[in-house]
Amino acid sequence: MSERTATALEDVLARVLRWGVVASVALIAAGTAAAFAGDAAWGLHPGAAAPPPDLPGILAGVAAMRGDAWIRLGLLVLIATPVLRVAVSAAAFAARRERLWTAIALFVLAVLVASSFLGAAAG
Amino acid sequence: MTPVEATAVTFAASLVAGAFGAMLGLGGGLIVVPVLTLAMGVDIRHAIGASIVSVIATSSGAAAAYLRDRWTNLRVAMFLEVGTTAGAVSGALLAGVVPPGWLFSAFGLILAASAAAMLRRGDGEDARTVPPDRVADRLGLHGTHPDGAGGETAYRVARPLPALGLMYGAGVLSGLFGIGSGIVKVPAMDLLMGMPLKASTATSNFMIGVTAATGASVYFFRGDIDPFVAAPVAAGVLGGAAVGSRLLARVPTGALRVAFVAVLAIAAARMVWQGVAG
Repeated sequence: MSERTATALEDVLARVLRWGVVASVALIAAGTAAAFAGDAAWGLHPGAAAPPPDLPGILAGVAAMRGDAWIRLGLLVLIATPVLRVAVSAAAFAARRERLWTAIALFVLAVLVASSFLGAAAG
Repeated sequence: MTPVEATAVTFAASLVAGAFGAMLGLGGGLIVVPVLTLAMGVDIRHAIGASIVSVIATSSGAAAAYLRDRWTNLRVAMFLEVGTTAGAVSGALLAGVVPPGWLFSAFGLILAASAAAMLRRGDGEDARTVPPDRVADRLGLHGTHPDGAGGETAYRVARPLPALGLMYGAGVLSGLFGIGSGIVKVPAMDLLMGMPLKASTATSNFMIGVTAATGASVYFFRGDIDPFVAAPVAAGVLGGAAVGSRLLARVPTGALRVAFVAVLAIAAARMVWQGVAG
């Protein structure tokens, strides 16, 4: 029985990762195309004096069809994908009543979330 | 170099990094960072930001295929992630407290020793015996991987607790220096836990995304991830990882071992050098 449930979990997680990757690539590709088509300050510009991004600014840029904002949103989706994978693992283990493994996945998720807040506070 | 050319070259280099990273269980930063800094003139801060994106992209891009084909040992990965994530947070908190110089050298020497041990182990690995381990039994960590002929080969796993400790150390180093920890994860699974090499690289690949994501949002909101540098890196690495993950089954294990040991030796030499030179 455990053989079958473990098998299914792998396919669930594969699907989460695949959708995250597809969404991220679509956003990044669209943003790159938009930036090249427009007259945005495109290019590899090392250490440009751009201000650090913030979420409201990115979303406003996405609404305004700005290429760099679309790319940034795609990168955020990419960064969030492994976190989502851990959250889905926790939920899947909980649904299967595998308590030790639910706890392990929740611990990893808690550390991931805590570190984001730690970093946000320090940065 | 025009923006279009620079984007095309970065994309091409990232394709290669993604393909090799996917097969070796590494993030591809060892290829991406030198290409960006030396060939593209990107400063180190944005190159490291792009390298973190590359690690996550390699992991997510390859893991879907490795999970589907049953290369990844899901339970070993989740168990060891406890150590890597806790270590990564400790490392981030320790940054600035620990003198990095001798730590770099010590880490480099450990990598050099791992390289030698991995090379010595050679290739009769499917026939080798793994000692019985009660903790691994209880946790259900033993796994199977494809045998290349449509079937599955079962393997046993040993010493999960020492490996967990090592993963904590690997996580501390990722948090301190932002270096990819795949270079530690693969030898730990290969040498300590006795896993087959391809299962080790696939499982490492699965884990490195989570290790990198632990700090990635910090880099992102600090502005270290330049969208115009990271876009071709992310897209290229994702494409390369998709190809590399499909090649793993066909690559001879011996060739994979030699390639990994070569990368390990280069990384070891670089770390010792950085430690000595400051």
